[in-house]
Amino acid sequence: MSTTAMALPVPFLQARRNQSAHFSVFALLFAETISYFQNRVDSIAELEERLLDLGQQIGRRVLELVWLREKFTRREIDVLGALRFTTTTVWRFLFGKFADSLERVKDKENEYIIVDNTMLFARFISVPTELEGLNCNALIAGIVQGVLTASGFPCRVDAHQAPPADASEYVSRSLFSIRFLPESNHTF
Amino acid sequence: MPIYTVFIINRSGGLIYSAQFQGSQVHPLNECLRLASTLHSVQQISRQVSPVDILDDIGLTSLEAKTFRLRLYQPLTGIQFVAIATPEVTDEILLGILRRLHLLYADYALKNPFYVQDMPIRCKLFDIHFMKLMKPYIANPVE
Repeated sequence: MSTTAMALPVPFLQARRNQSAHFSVFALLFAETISYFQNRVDSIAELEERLLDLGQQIGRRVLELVWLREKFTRREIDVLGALRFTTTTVWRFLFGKFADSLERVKDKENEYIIVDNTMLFARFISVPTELEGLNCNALIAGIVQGVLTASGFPCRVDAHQAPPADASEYVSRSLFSIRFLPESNHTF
Repeated sequence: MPIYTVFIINRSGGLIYSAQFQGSQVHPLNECLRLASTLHSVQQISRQVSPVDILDDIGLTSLEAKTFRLRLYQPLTGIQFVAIATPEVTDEILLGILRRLHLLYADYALKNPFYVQDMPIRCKLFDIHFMKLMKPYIANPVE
């Protein structure tokens, strides 16, 4: 096999940032993904777990793609650097903007929270009362977990919903709490 | 110039969303269902008897009376959006509202994984955005 056949297609790597997928199409795909999983699980927790798994697979690939497209030469070797990379570069790659804030949980060594006030993914989804507590942002939690784990910082990410900061808004804020596992506390 | 009533009727004539606002006589839900399916039948019949075969806007689209104006918007998917308002509300305004309602339906009902197609719409976000859309055209919401 020749080397040119092995190389990644050039347009794929050179795709500009503004060449994004149409949001309506994506929302429909996301909705179908959830209803696909919904028919195959027994509980809300299981559904979230499935979404998290799917997100992890996406996250691993996103990390690679971001690296190739943004032409990074440096690897993040500490937890904070990896987190900043996630909330800025990866976030911009996925959603076209930075995450609204990155906070450290008080009194906890290894826990951080990413806050996003306008999460695109679940914009059209209203969770019915019989499924109260389901958070569709579990997919994004999975992506974050996938990115961080693939960067060498194993962690566990959970998605939470918080009431909007402004009472006139009806889009609730999304929180992603990240708990790093002990083995990610290493130095290179 | 208020809007009295808004219906969304599915392809088989079932009422999947209804809203009634102050100023009109408020019908009980059963009566709304009957009205909706009758309207659906009339629309279908008028489509069948139409002598010209244009895909867009055939059959019953609007109805004018001394005391109210009814506008019906049916996109190609066969779903029907109906609005009843006072006669002062022009046809264009009503059609604009119904088109935006179609947009809301496509976004907040069809892109919601927990909504089953052709079933009554019970989505919180749809309700919120519907009320936002209707706010300039109603006096005081009844329900």
